[in-house]
Amino acid sequence: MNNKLAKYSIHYDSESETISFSGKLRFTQTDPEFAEISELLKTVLEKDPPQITLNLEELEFLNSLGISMISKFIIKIRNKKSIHAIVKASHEISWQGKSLVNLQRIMPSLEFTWV
Amino acid sequence: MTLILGDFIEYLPSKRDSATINFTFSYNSANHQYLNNHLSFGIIAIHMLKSIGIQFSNNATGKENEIRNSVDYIANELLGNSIKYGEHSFHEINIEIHVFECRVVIISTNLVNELREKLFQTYIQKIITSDVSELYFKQLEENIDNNQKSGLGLLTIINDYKAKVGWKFESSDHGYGTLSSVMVQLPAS
Repeated sequence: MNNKLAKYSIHYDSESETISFSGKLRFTQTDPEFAEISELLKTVLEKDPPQITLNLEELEFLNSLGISMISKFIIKIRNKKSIHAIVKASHEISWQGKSLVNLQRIMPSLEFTWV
Repeated sequence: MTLILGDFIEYLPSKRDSATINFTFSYNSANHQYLNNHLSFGIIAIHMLKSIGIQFSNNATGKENEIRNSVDYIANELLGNSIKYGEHSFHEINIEIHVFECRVVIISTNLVNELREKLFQTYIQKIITSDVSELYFKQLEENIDNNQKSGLGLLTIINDYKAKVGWKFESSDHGYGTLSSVMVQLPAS
């Protein structure tokens, strides 16, 4: 999923169950791509894989609606109780250090990999 | 009539070692800019800080990046809220960036109708009287199946960015609605 105008891309690797986000992602509620990405996350969750990885290492910007979407995805993984979740993040991108740490409080067993 | 809530500085210093830039958008222009161009308020704030003599040493590139990214996030959240909740048929949206004493102050102003004003003031009281961190997680858990609602913008600004936030409501001279301003103060040192 690419949006050159909004300068972001999202890639889903179904073998490793990894969803990779990169670029600058700023959703609005009426954005059709927001619905598409929500649907992708829902589909991955419904497959009930043993492990899901969110790779955010190259995600330079995410607005509060995006933070909310990712946080709710982690809550749903936590509630399933059967999925191991990994979040790959970057210390080089300041919003990640500020906002992603909240995911650990949502799901204490969440595995973080920082680069 | 003016109502101030939270940390709102009504009269910002404007004479010495300070700088202000004001952006005034029509609703259509703000919406277009928000949706199609990533407005880099952060780069502007960094130039403003440097223009009043704030220096970032070579080894402080990380700090400069952090301030730039924080201002970008906060200003875009405020602009997004003004577009979402403002009465755009009657008034423009205003975003002001002010720098002084190693601080960046970002202010958004838009017109709100009576219902939105009441809802907003109730929400502000909730923020002021609650543990924001608890409110942040409660908001997520309670709206777990509602992806259309975030409600996290102001909470992330306070909880994640450790910024001071204040609000001002004042009568509008349009004979309709109230001018609603949100002020966010971010340390730049």
